[in-house]
Amino acid sequence: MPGLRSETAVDVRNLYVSYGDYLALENISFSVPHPSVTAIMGPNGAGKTTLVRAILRLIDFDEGEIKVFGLDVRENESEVRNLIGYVPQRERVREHIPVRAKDVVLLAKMVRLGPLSLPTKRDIEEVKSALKSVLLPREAWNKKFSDLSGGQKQKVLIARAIVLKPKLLILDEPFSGVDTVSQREIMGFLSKLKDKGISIIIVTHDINPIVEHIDNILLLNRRKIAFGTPQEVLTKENLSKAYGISVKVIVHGGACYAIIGDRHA
Amino acid sequence: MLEILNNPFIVRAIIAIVLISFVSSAIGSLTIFREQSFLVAGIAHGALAGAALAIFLDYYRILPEMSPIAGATVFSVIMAVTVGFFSSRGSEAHMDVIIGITFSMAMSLAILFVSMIREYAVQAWGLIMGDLLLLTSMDLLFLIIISSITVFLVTLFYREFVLIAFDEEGARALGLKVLLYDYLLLILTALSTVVLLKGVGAILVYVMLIIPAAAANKLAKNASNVMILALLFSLISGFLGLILAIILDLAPSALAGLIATTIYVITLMIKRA
Ligand SMILES: Nc1ncnc2c1ncn2[C@@H]1O[C@H](COP(=O)(O)OP(=O)(O)OP(=O)(O)O)[C@@H](O)[C@H]1O
Ligand SMILES: [Mg+2]
Repeated sequence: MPGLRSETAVDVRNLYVSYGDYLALENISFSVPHPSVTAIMGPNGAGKTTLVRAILRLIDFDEGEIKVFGLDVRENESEVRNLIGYVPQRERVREHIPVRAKDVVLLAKMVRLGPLSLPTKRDIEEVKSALKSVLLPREAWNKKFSDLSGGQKQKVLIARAIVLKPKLLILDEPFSGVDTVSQREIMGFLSKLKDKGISIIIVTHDINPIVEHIDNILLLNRRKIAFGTPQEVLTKENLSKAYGISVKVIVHGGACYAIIGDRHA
Repeated sequence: MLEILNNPFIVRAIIAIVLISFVSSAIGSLTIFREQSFLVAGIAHGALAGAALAIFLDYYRILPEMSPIAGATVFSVIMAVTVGFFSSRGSEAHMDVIIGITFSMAMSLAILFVSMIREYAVQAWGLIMGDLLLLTSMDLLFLIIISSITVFLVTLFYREFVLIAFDEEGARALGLKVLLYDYLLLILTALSTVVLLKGVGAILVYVMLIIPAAAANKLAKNASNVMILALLFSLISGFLGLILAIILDLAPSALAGLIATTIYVITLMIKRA
């Protein structure tokens, strides 16, 4: 693998992404330092998932450049994927397939190792420690994925990403359908991952329960509205630009908190 | 009772049931996971059309010695690849439409070609109803080859297939070449419908490929158990069907189909209870 030349986790320059005629992202530039926790915020249809997909090369982009730890994602597709752990939006998982929680995690591990590999003791240990680190209760390990609660499912998907020891973890709306207590719990161990040298990017609608753990926010609505610390980004002006004028902003401890329902842009 | 094992047709039927069971548990469970059971019905009719066309071409000496199994294989694979090609360029909702159109097309072609070989009523009848008790050694050899390839590849890539079915985007982010696996699975599905077409006939391909796996999916706790249970259900349906068919002098495939659906209904009731 080419050396990790930079201590910038993600560097996006003048990115344009379109679906057919529809321009979903326009001239996006920002740079995520390593290690850090970044939130991507914006209304429905703002292009948050699109941005994440472009970083992972799940979709192609028209113009611009994306580098992950200094590696151009177009030229180093597989190296970049080895560096990133991805937690997709939970609704995209087909739940009618019977898979136990621990097997969800093991499956990813084994697929990464290739078709002919058999799980070793060490692989099993790594799966267990991933499940422990996301604080999934032991009695849930052997349950079918579909029988878990929303928060537990999310934890399993996060464990599946971190068992591969990524340097960057990208989560798409990990908190939808997860109660506030579990949100805080999940955010708690995510910030511990940062202390271990893993950068985190979280796509979220609601920044409020996690804002104290966030280093940077990217506020999107097809274009970049703002990028910076929560204090810099969460101003009344930025939030109304992203969400429209109906947004309510509460100023508390030097930062603005937006009261945003799940509304469409 | 045991002297019936001296009858080579019975022995071939028994071997065919074992092959069908392995193929149907492997492909059936993945089809259930992908929620593409409609696709199997479509490909089965494609296989029927291909087999009927082969008989026709043989009859008019256009392509003499063209065997129905070869025709079925070619047609079903072409159909599977076509579905794959169009669906890879569309959205998921698109897929339903594509399968619907190919299904209708295959069905019409099947009826067209079968009607053209009316003189060969026995052969046409065999394709539709299955001729488990009339298999030749050549048929069996062909079935053994196709089944071995299918079961081997599904076993080898089972984890990849399950992961893609569970969460395609996650699988792609892990670096899997999802498109390649999709085509592989489509082609293997096409090959399995040929195996089942020969054994149980076009009408019952869907039943025997999907129902055992659907029942297993209701009961099993994990993905590999679905495969094992589906195998068990297929074997039970196949052998019970064969025994009853010999005793009652009825079509084995029809009885196997009835037993499989009965098993499915029982699993539904167990799940409700
Ligand atoms: N596969 C696609 N084909 C065409 N248009 C798409 C596709 N995926 C997304 N879009 C469009 O691109 C825009 C951005 O979508 P995206 O999913 O990135 O938004 P998002 O910010 O993640 O929204 P949400 O909060 O609802 O998840 C939307 O207008 C959407 O309709
Ligand atoms: Mg999204």
